[in-house]
Amino acid sequence: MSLQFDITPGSPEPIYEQIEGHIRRQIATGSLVEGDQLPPVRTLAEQLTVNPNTVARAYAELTAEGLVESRTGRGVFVAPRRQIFSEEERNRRFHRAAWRFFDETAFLDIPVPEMVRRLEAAWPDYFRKTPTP
Amino acid sequence: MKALFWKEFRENLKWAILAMGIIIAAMAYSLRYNPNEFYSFQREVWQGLQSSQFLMVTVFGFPVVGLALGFLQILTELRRDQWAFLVHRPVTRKQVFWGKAIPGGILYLLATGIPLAGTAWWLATPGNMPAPFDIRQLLPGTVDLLTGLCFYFAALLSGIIQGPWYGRRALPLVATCFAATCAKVYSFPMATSGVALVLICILLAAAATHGAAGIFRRTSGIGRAALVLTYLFAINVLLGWFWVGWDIVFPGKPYSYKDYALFKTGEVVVTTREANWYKNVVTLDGREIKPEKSSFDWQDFLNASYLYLKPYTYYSNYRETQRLFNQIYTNSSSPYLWYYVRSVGSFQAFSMIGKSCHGFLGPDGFAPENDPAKAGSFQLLRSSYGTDDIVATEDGVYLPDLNAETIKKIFSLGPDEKMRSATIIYNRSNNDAPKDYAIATSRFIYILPHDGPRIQIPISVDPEKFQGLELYRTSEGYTLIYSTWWGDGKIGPELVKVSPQGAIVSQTSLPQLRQTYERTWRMWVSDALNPLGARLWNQANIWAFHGLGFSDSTPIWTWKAKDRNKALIYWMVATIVGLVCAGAVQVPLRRTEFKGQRLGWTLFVFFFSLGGLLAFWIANDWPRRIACPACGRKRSVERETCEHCGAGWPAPKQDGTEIWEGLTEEATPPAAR
Amino acid sequence: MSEYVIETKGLTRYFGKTCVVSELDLKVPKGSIFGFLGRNGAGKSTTIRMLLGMVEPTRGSAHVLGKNSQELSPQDRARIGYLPEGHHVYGWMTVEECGKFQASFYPHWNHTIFDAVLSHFRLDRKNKAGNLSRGQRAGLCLALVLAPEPELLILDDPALGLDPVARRSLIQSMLYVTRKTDRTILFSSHLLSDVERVADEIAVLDRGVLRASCKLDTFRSHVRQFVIKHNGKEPPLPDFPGLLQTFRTDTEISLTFANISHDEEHHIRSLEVHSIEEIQLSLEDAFVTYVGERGEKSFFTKDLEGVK
Repeated sequence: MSLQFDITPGSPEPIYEQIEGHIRRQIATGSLVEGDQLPPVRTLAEQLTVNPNTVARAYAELTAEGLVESRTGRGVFVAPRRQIFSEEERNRRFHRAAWRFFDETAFLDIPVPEMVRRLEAAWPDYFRKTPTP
Repeated sequence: MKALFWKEFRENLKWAILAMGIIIAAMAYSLRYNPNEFYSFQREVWQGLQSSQFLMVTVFGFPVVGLALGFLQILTELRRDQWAFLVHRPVTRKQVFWGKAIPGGILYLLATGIPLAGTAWWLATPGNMPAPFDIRQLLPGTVDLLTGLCFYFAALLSGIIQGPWYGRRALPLVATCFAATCAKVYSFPMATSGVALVLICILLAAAATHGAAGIFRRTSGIGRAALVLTYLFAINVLLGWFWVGWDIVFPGKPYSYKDYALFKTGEVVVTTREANWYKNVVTLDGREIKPEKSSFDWQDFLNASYLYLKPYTYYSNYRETQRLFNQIYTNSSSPYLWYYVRSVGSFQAFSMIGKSCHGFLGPDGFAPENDPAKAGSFQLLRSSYGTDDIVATEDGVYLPDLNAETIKKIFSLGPDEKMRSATIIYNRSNNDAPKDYAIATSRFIYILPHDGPRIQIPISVDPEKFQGLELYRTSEGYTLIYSTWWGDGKIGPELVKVSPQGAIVSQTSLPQLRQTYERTWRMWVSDALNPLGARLWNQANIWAFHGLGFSDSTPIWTWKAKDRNKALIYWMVATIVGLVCAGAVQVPLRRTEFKGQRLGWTLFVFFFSLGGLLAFWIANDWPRRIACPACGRKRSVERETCEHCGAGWPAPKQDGTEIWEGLTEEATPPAAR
Repeated sequence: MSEYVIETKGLTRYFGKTCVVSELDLKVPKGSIFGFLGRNGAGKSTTIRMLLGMVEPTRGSAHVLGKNSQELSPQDRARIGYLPEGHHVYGWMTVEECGKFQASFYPHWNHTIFDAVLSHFRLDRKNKAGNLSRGQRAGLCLALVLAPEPELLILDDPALGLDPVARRSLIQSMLYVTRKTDRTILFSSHLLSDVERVADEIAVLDRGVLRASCKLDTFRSHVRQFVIKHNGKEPPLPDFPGLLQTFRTDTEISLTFANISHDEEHHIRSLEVHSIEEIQLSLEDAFVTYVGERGEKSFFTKDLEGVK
């Protein structure tokens, strides 16, 4: 199987985080479901033209987050969904994401209740199609 | 290697062809021949491969071609990355060098050798040049070919040496001028061995220096020796240039030369000539003769007829045709050019129009071109034929008439008599008057007047004793002065007066003339600077070449004690200078990088004194010395520890912004060592 | 054999009085793609040329594939591929002849790789090398250097002058080489995005001195930038040892650090100001700050304001 996305070198976000983000999103949106096999490290590295170690690191991070699991000798597969973050970590991550969100939206003059409404409306869309990054 | 050869051939072939074209054009121009101008500026064209115009092409053209081909081959490729591309492959540096030098050398030899051989072939083909051809005429061109090869390898060497252009790198090119100088030495074996020596040195130095990527310290021992010797040659050349320049800027007193002569009154006088002009004239009793006009000229003296005693080929240079053949200047209206050809032993005529051989004139008369044996042969004893019109041979004297193509024997030797020399006695008042001849044999000196019986003077001429013999005709008969020209003092100059009938009237020994050979301090200095090594080398050469019969000089140990002791003063001075230099070189030799080379360098500097010191200084790499951060004294940047305080080099300054993969891991920063 | 294919100890080179490479201790692990970074004139090429035995070190030593770099035998050279700066080839040879010429020197020559690289760069074998474009020439050079399948590949600024497509092909070739795990690549480059794609490890050479040698990610995570917003009154800042750069506007101070310690970070975060924010730097920004001028920084254009 293959994953369709591009990475952007030269951005503040390291390449392994970009790969991680893409895979995380595809799992979140259901493009990848439990038991799906991720492409081998070397294949994905050559597809993206990046160092295999970078892909390996992204896989390692995803494994650490519990999103994927590596089965010895067979490859890396999407893991069953479970929450492995502590309460504190979840808060920290949410906070970081919220700040990024506010950075973008603070000047759009949309009142917060309206934002909440629109977020709720957009939530199903997020799962329907793979959003463009 | 094959691929390298192919690459170099392919890259440099075009340059070699261009060079060959230029050389061919220059050679063709130098040998252009026009019968109408034959006696003017093309005076020497008949000498073919030995004419001065042709030798200009070989003396200057071949080295320029060698230098150009060498530089084109190395400099175009020495650009950093291109050179890296060439060098970084599974070959050694030596292979890279031979990969360049072998095809390059072959291309050079083709570019110069083909035109040379082609010209020789063209000249050897009858009908192209109204002159004889001898294969030995190729010798000067061949020696120049080798000289040019020196220039080619010098360019390869100069390209790779690391160092400044004006010093270390230019000097191999200067050293080649030493080869060019050697090529002009009159004896062919001496010239060839000189050029070959320089060639071998430069070639070894180039190969070894390429093998060591241009770094002297990493060059092999033989390569270092060859390179240092090359520098020594160069220094020698530079010193020569320096003295030449010095003499131009500060010309010393003109050289003056004393000689006996007969004044027009018949009186024996001593003339002092300076810059070939008469400065003063003194009689034997010390009275100075004043010139009638503003100064003396040749008309104030009687003409001497010189009965030279040296053999025909003795001093002729291998680059000149004398040993092979000589042109005889005949009447310019004659349709033929005449030569005396030694290998045939007769005069040979060439048609100026058809440029082919017309015939031979020998002791037995004229022979057509297809039968030279019929003319017979004689070996000339003297080279002066062109001016004397007579031929002195081992069995007599002949008087040929080239225009009439006839020959007449005017003198036959008596029993047990050996021919020494013969000459014309000039009649200054009338050039066209019938001529008188003088002939020297081992028993008598004969005079053959045109209008009277033969006169016989009882002086036997022994070439071992006689260095030169001058004969004057005076109003009272004949006067002879035979002198020791070469200052060797075996016998003093003798003055012999002879009556018109041939009886000796008087014989006096003249005082030996001391040439006021003034040694200026510049001569003294240049002589004293001539180091021991060069002196020994010179003596070895003289010994070897004298032994082989190529040289007239004799080694110093065969000299008379008086002369030898005088010369040995200079040897002593040279020894002292050598010792001082050897002492001085001990200062730099104390450095550790010279470990194991100290004795070699000391001996070298002792034998080559100042030049050796200079070569030592130029050849070696002198690492930059900077202040030691620990003790403040100057230390070599190449050494890990300070010579003075033993401290190492401090690690680069760290300011805490250095990023390592965890300080405990392998990639430890220098600070943490 | 050691796990490092390149190991230098106190490698130093002077050109005249100037020290261009100073006390370099570089270790390149086997199997890595090692990015060799630094500004122009930092001594990268000189170092590479010392590693290949083309420049003699003034002092110190360099070992490549376990051999002293000054004594590399032809066999050792066959194991090292080197692409000099400027992609030199002999212009009068055709592409085909270039390959034949090069192949004749190597005991091992993989025609498949050679052909693959040529076709990847769309090279016509009959073409004269002198007529190739820069990118094609780079491709040819790369083919020549890859075909002997060297254990160590040293590329001196291979991306210089290449268009993005050729650059991408170059990177792909580099990744291809390291498919076999015992192959190592050392390359120098100014294109940080390429470095970011392929390098595992980097070394930063600054005026002849090695200032960083670590994993790429380690470098990124050690160069950090904080933006402090204040209301016109600057908070007192102590002397931070790892401070690389300070950039001030009326209400903002931006501080960039290398190796900031926990205490220092805590100190900054506890400043009483409007806001403190950490900005994530791209590799290029991190590198520029790292090797750029130290201390107070102003825009280059500000210096030009006085110029009329």
